[in-house]
Formats: sequence, C-alpha cells, structure tokens
Amino acid sequence: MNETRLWQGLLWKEAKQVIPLIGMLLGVSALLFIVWAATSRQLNVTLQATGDIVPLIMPALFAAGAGAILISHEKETRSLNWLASLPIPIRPIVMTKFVVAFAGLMLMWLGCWLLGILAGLDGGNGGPLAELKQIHPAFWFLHSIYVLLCGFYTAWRNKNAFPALVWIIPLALLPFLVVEIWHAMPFIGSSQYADVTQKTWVMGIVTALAIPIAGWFAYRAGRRELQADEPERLLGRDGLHSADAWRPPETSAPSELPFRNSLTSLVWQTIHSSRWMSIGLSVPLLAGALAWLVLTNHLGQISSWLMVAIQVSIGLSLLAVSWLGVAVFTGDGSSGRLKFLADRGVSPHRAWVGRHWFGVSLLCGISLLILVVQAILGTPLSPDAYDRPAVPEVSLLTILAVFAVVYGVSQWTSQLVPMLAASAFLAPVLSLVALAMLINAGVGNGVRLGWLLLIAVLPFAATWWTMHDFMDGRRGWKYWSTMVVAGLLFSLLPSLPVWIAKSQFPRMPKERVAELLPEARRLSKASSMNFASMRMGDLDLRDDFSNRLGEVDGETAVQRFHQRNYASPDTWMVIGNQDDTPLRADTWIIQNSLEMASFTKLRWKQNPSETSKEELAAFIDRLTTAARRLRLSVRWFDQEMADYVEEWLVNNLSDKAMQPLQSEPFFRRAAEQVAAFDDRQSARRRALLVSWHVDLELSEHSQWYGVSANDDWFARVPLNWRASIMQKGFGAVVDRCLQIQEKQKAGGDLEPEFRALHELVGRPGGDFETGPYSDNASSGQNTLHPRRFYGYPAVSWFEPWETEGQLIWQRLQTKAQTETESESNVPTEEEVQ
Amino acid sequence: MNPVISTDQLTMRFRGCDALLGVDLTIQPGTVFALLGENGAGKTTLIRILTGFQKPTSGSACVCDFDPLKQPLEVRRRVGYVSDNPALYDWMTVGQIGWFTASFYPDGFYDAYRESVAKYEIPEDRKIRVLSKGQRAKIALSLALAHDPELLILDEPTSGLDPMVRREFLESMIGRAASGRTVFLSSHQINEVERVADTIGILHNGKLQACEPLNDLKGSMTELTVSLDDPLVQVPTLPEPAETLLEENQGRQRRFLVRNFDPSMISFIESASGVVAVRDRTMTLEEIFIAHTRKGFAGPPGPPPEMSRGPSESPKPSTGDGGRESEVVTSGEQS
Repeated sequence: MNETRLWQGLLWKEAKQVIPLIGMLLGVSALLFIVWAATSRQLNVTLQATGDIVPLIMPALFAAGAGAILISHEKETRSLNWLASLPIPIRPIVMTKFVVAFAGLMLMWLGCWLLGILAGLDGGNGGPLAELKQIHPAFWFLHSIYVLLCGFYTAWRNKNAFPALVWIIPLALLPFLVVEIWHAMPFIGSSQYADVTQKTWVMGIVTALAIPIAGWFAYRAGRRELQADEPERLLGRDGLHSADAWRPPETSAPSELPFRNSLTSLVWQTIHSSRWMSIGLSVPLLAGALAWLVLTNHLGQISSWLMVAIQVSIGLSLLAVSWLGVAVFTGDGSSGRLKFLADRGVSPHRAWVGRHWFGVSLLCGISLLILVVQAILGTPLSPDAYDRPAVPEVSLLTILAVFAVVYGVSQWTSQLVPMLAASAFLAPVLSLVALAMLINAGVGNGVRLGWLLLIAVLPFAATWWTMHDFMDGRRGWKYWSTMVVAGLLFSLLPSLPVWIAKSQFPRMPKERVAELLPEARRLSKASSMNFASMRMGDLDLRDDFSNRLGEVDGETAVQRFHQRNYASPDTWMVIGNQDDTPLRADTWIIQNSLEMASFTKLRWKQNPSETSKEELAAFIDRLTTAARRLRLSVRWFDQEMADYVEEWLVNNLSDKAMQPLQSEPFFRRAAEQVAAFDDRQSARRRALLVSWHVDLELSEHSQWYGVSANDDWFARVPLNWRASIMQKGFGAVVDRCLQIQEKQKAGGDLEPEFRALHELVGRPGGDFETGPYSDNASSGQNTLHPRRFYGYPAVSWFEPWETEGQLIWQRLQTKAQTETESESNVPTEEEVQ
Repeated sequence: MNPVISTDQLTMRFRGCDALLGVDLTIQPGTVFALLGENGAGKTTLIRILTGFQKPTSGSACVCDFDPLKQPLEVRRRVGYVSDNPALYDWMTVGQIGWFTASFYPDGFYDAYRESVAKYEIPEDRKIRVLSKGQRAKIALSLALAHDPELLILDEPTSGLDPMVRREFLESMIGRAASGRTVFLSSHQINEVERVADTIGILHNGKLQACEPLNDLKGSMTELTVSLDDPLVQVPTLPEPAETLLEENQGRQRRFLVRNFDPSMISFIESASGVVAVRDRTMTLEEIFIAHTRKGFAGPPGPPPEMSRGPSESPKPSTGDGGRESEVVTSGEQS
C-alpha cells in the first residue's frame, strides 16, 4: 500500500466533506457583513456591534461544527464503519480529519478577515460587546483551535451529534472560567481592577496549555472509536457497589401499558432520544433565567466576574433556546428517523405538535418561573432614587416573544437544513439576525407588536404546513416553493407597514408641484447661496486649546476677564459689515444676544444715562441689522429666526418705557424693519420655495438643505424611516405654509390651516393648544410668552406682533407728522430721522 | 494447510444477552461457508469479531493466520467484507468511491473495480445517493472483490440484487472457492445457500448447533414417522449412534427428528409391539435449520427410562463423517 496515496485519498475525502460548511459559513458571514454595511450608517448600535464581531464568530462556529461534520455525521451515516473496514491505519484517519479541519479554520479566519476589510469594519470599541472586542484577536485564534479540538473530542465520544455539540459549550468556557477563578483568588487582587490585556494574557496562556491536552484527548478518543469495541464489563455479585442500591431499576418500558395519548409517547420519545441533550439544554436555560433575575433585581454596582457570568449565562440560554428549536427536526440525529412515524401513519400535525411539546413546555416553564420569582421579589426599590438595576424588568409577553422568535426560526432552519452539524450553527446566527430584524422593525420602524407577533408565528406555520412532505422525505418543488414564499414573507412583512405608511405620507399634490416648481426654480436661480455666519466675540480665557480643559494662565485670564464688555453687542453677536450678504442664523447666539439686549434695556430703565442709552441703541441696531440680513437668506429656518428677532424688537419697541426714545434713529430703523409686512411675506415665500427646490435637486439624501435644521419634525414618524420621508413631508409642509400665506392674503380664518400644519409636523407639544401654533390661531391671546419651539415652520406667522410692528411705524409716522405740523415748518429729511 | 478462520471458545456477553457462547469454528481454504441463524443468533457479532471490530469477552480467533484484534489491518487487507446494508459515502460518484478506495489497496484495484462496475452497467459518474438499493449492493460487492481477497465475508450478500445478478453472483462464489479462495457468508436465503455452500454452520442462542459439510448435514438428519395402533404405545429408544433430537405426538403417529439414523434401524422399530408402520425421509436444509432453531430442540421431552438409550445390542451404524472440511468440536446443547 502506498502511504502517499493513502493520505491523499483521505485528505481529498475530508476536504470534500468540510467545504460545504466553510462555504455556508462564509456565505452567512457575507450576508451579515452586507446587513452590517447597510445598517451601520443608521444609529443602530446592536447591529453595528454584531458586524464588528462577525469575524470572530464565524471561525468559532466553524471550529465547533467541524467535529460534527467530519465525525458525528460520518457516525450517523455509518460511513465511518465502512471506512474502518478498509485496511487503513487509525492514525491517518484521525489525523487527516484534524488537518483538514485546521486548514478549514485558517481559511475561515482568512475569509472573514478579507470580508471585514471589504466591509470596512472599523473595529471600534463601542457597543454592548465592547469588552469582548478589546480582547486581542490572537486569543480568539488560539481559542478557536482549542474549540476545534474540544469539538473533535466530544464528537468522537458521543454517538449522537447533538449532545456532542452541547458538551462543547462547557469545555469552550473553561479558559474564561479559569481566568475568573484566578482573578478571584485573594492573593491575585481584585478582578475589578484587572485590565483586559492582563486577562487576555492569562486566558491565552491557559488556552495554549489546554490545546495539547484537548488534542491528546481528541486523538485518544478517535483511536478508541476506531479500535475494536471493548466487551461490556458485566459485574458479578462481587462487583456491585453499595451505591448501586440507589440506582433506579432498568425498565423496558416507561409504563405497564402504552400511553393512551400518542402525543405523550411522542413527548417521551423526544425527551429520551438523548437524555443528556435534554438536560444539557435545560440547565443553561435555567441558568440564563437566574442570571436575568439577578440582572433585573440587583441594586448597585455589579462586580466584574458576576457581570461576565450573567452575560455568559444569558448568551448560553439563548443558544439553548435556539438548539431546542433545532432539536425539533434533527434532535434524534437524523431527520430520516421521522419517517418511522410516517411509516406508521402518524398524523404529520400530531407529530409536529409532539416534537414541539418539550421545547415549548420548557420555554413556557422558564418564562413562568421568571414571572413568579419577579412577582415574589417585586420591583427592586432603593433609598437612592438613582440606584436602579442595570436592566429593567420586562413583561412575560416580551420574554415569550423573544423565545418564540429564536426558537421558531431555529426549528425552521433545522427543517430546511436537516444536517444537524449545519443547522446547529446556522440556526443561532439566523435566529439572532431575525430577532434583531424584528426588534429593529418594532423599535426603529414603529411596527405594531401584534403584526410582529404574527410574523413570529410564520416559521411555525411554515413547518406545520410542510410537515407532511418533510416526514415522507418528499421535499419537492411544492415544499421548496412553500419555504421560499414563507421566507420572503418573513423578510418582507416587517417592512410592509412601513412601506404603506411611507406611501400614504402627506406630500405636495402633483398639480401644486407643477404650479410652484417654475417659481421655485426661478427664485433659486435668482438667489445667492452665499451666506455669512454669525459668531460670538472672543470670550475665551484660554491660550492653549490642545485639550478640552485648556491651559489657563491666571494673570492673562484675569486681564481678559476684565477687558470683556458684556454690554456690547460685539461680545455676543458678530455679523460683519457686508450688509448685502444673507446671514445664517445661530439659535444659541440669537438667544444670548436677545437676553443681553433685554438686560441692557433693563439697565437703561434703571439708569437712563447717555451711556446706557448708547449701549441699548447698539444692541437694537445690531439686532435690526441681523433681522434684515436674515430676511435675505433663502433658508426657511433663517426666516423663522428673523421672526424671532423681530418679535423681540416689536415687544420692546412697544414698551411704554421705550417711547421716549422714539425719536432716536436706532428706534426708527428698528420700527421700519418690523413694519415691512409685505417684504417679510415675500422673504418667507422665497425661502420656503428655494429650500424645497434645493432639496429636490440634491441627490444625496443625507445632506438636506431645507429640513436639516431640525430633527424634531414628524416626531411621530419612527426614527429609522423618518429621513426617507423628510423630502416628501417637507413638500407638504411648504404647500401648507404657502396656503396659510395665501389664505391670510384673502382674509380667511387661519386656525384650521395651523391645526392642519400642527398635525402634519407630528403634533409637537401634544395638543394644538399646547403646541407651537396655538398663538397663531385667532383664539391665541398671549403674545409675550417666552418662545418654546424652534425649528418649526410658521410658528410666529401672523401673530399679533406683526400687526403691532406696523402700528409702531404708523405711530411713529403720525407723531412725526404732528410734530411737523405743530412746528409749521417744513422739516428737513435729517430732522425726521 | 492452515484454516482460514479458526475460533477457540469464542464467547461474547452483552448486558441482558449472550451473543456467543464458546464457539469453536474451523474453516478450511477453498470453502464456501454459510452461517445460518435466526435474527439475533449472534451471526453479526461473530463477523464483527472476525473482522476486528469487536473484542470478545473471552476466547480467541484467527483469520488468515492473523489475530484480528492485534493485527486488524493485516486481516482487512486479506479480507473483502460486505455488510447487509453497506454505508458508502453517498456524496461520492461511483467512480470516485472506487478511486478513493483504491488508495488503500495495491495496484490493480481500481481497474478491477471499474471492470466490475462496467459489468453491472452502472455509470461511473452517477452519485451513490441516487443509486437503487441493488445498485449499491453491486458497488459494495465490487469494492469488496476488487483486490481479490483471500477471504470474502458477506453479510446477507444478495439482498437487493435482482434474480439474474443473484444467480451470477452465487456462481462466482463457487468459482472463487474452486480457485482456492474462501467465502464466508451469512444469510437467510437457505435455498441459495444450499445451492452454493459446501459447509454449513447453524448458530442458535449463541451456540453453534451444527457445523458440517452440507451433504453430511443433510445425510445425518432423518425425519421418522411411526404409525401406532394406540396413542399410548411406547416407541423403543433408537440404538446408538442415533440421537433423537425431537419427538412430537400427532395422535396415532409419532414424529422423530433423528441424527445419524441408519435405515437398518427401521426393522428394529417395526418389530416393537403396537408399531404399525415406519416411514423415514431425508430432510431438506431448511427443515434441518428449523429443527435446530425451533423451541424445544434442546432434547426430547419427558424421556421415560426406556427412551433414554437403546439396548447395548443395538446395531451401531458408522458415523460417516470422515472427509469433513469443517467440524464442530464443541456442539453446545446437542442431545
């Protein structure tokens, strides 16, 4: 026998067997990377974090699954027996399996690394999995080799693939456990202060030491499996131990007579097909429930090791939920075994219920346990109001819904991919992706819970519907078309309400677009997009800006502090002297300037000296100029801020205390500005139309011109799809605002229009009466309240201040005329001013 | 010449049952040996021990001069083995599995395999998973025979084969034996076994009830029907070396299964009072198998003192078992 040919043949066989798993996992990785790339631009931290750890997860999944594919599957199909009947030494059989698996693992690492580069993973350290991501990838590499060997060991040792997979979990966690125990030792010091690098080193050393041990155990288990079976040790009377008295007697059947209900028999078969599997899945579920209860009830700081234990327990319990689902169709090692029931005429739907009974009962039991314990413990209360558990309690329905999604998708996967070694690893990944998708639909897209629950039922309905074909081993076009339809429905239905809502979202009517677009285009062409920004004066005391706090030189700082002139508008609002250039508003600067102007006015009222009058005059002049230049802007938001400034001017110019200043030039200039009603309407119309037109022309949706000033628009629209309707919604808003203008011109009642606008922008402030438009209505009374809403269109339109502004000017004109007449002299122009 | 297979007090006990109980077996080269037995009789356990897959509880075995437990590879190189339901790699094609298996055998394997597959008219590019049960059996046979093994071990070899192929295959077994190769087959198809086997072993309850050349086995067993004038009449005990294996009352008739019966004993029985007529008939292999495996075979029921042994003066026919190529050294519960 040629030694080289022997190795070649075995390597070829093993490689051919493992390639589908590599391809499948790389395919899923690519899918996850695409999902990540598509969602990472949105503010979805969970998916972003998932995307970042995919390069770590996929090789780990391969490491755990290789043993199942190369060993358990061969045991299941008995091809290993046939191989062993050939004249092949045991060592090449065992070693080629490991060599091929190791090469596959390297390929997985390489593939996921390349995919990571292609998808542009930033390796950021944020998100809920930040601690895991801080661990150096070299450790994960070592750990994957260790898991691979553990998988080989459990696969050689177990007849059924499922318990073999379950037993990998505690073995894989051993290095982490050792490290936590090590850091918990009194002579090591508190683990709370152990940094991740130190932990990684210890875990790396432990794992490196564990690799040869696991390898030796795996090799020995392989040799034992392929050697001749040892005869059973039959104990004689002397061999019996006193402990045997406690062992329950072995019975051939669980009861004297067969169970009356065939469902009971099916449940019995599910549980007893592998008792270790049932126990192995129940224990992590219970541990996860306890960890959840600790997490939702523990007040105060949770120690580092406890938090790790909680995270691991909850993660494992989710894996157990998924594997309970996988066990439904592949739990007894081979899907072909269901044919035993089919051959005996068992109703497919009865078999379906029987297979689900154990898993569903276990999940319901765990949920009820959480509910009962939570009810007994009550809501955790602490004397310190800010001392709350890390995670709030959730309802029973929420827990059940999470279980239903993970379990449902997993059982679906196991029916679609009946090879246990594949479905056991695909199912957890797919079920978590589905869970993230449904949570995203519910939380991010605002899809109703009832609709999501209906979607969660879909995987169950799909397997129920196709159970007959599956049991008969008849997976033809009907089966696959049902599955494809169900898969498409499951993927698309969460988005359906969003699509409907988007299509029904208000927009500018087509005829109105046709009417307004030429005007908007003309105005855009005629308007300058150049602008000047406003800024504050130099108020900083620092010299060095290299860090956030800055280096402050004491003497310089005191000197600068004394040099500040808070009574000058140059300190609060610097707008330059290009009077024809439109100004772009800064809400913060305008607010501060108005407050300081009010303060200056108060100082003048308290001490009406010439200096204080000049200071007030300077402020009012600056605000008048700012309002005028804001009116030149074609951005609708600047018009709103101009309204804000002019409203302040009106309120103060109409103040009785200010009337003695009517003859001052600054008063007259301000009065002229606030009286320009028609110019204001034109500026508003132009700004709305140009903003709308610019947004229409912009190809990149993330760079809104018109609506980017404020994110509170359409607040009732869920965040994830708000951006996509912004442009359409802005068109509707522009239309509504222009209708308000036109109706005002025609002299109609504006309240219904403002109410409609209030509804359109998402009812800011709740009811109309408490919202930004209540003062615009004819019923609005208070004109001097502090402004509460910024960034909504038309919030100050046609309020009493606009009329008051005109009246101030008229009064000024009348007074000037009276003075002229009383002097019976023709006044020169300079005198009027 | 050394026997191809020899076992010594082979015992295999499992919890709850004894698969083999002190089996001694010797099979000479050039034999087509058929192992017969009910389901669960221990046939597969015996084959697993002979091929080195199972260690016995006690006893030893030797196959092709090698200990299958200590030198399993040497045994497997010389043996071709086909199980009743061969589990081949179903993702391979017919050609690939031959190419793959050839890696573990000397040159010439692949050519012989392809020749065999071509004879069965199975396309080489077809996947194993799409083959019928019979076609899979043909592939398994081709793989087992391609290296021309000294010993061919077949567990239910013809199940799934169509009648034409079955006939050809069985004839080829005779050809192999004629060329000095040995065939060990375990089967329920007694008619087929009868056609090709030259030595028969009958395994029952873990014990080898019989292991003789086919002709000897058939010649040694006689069905004796004695007609009586009164059901209560006692039939005289047969003289040695005759052994009564089973006795059944059927009214005025008694039916005996007798080993080593000699026709000269008929006159002895007829001479007894109350005996009307005696009829003897040579049994078929199937009847012999059923006789060995039916319940109550262990010994005649309720032997009266005069039924236990015949008088010492009874004639002693010759044993007639010279020239056996295989023999039972320990025959379990033979009466």
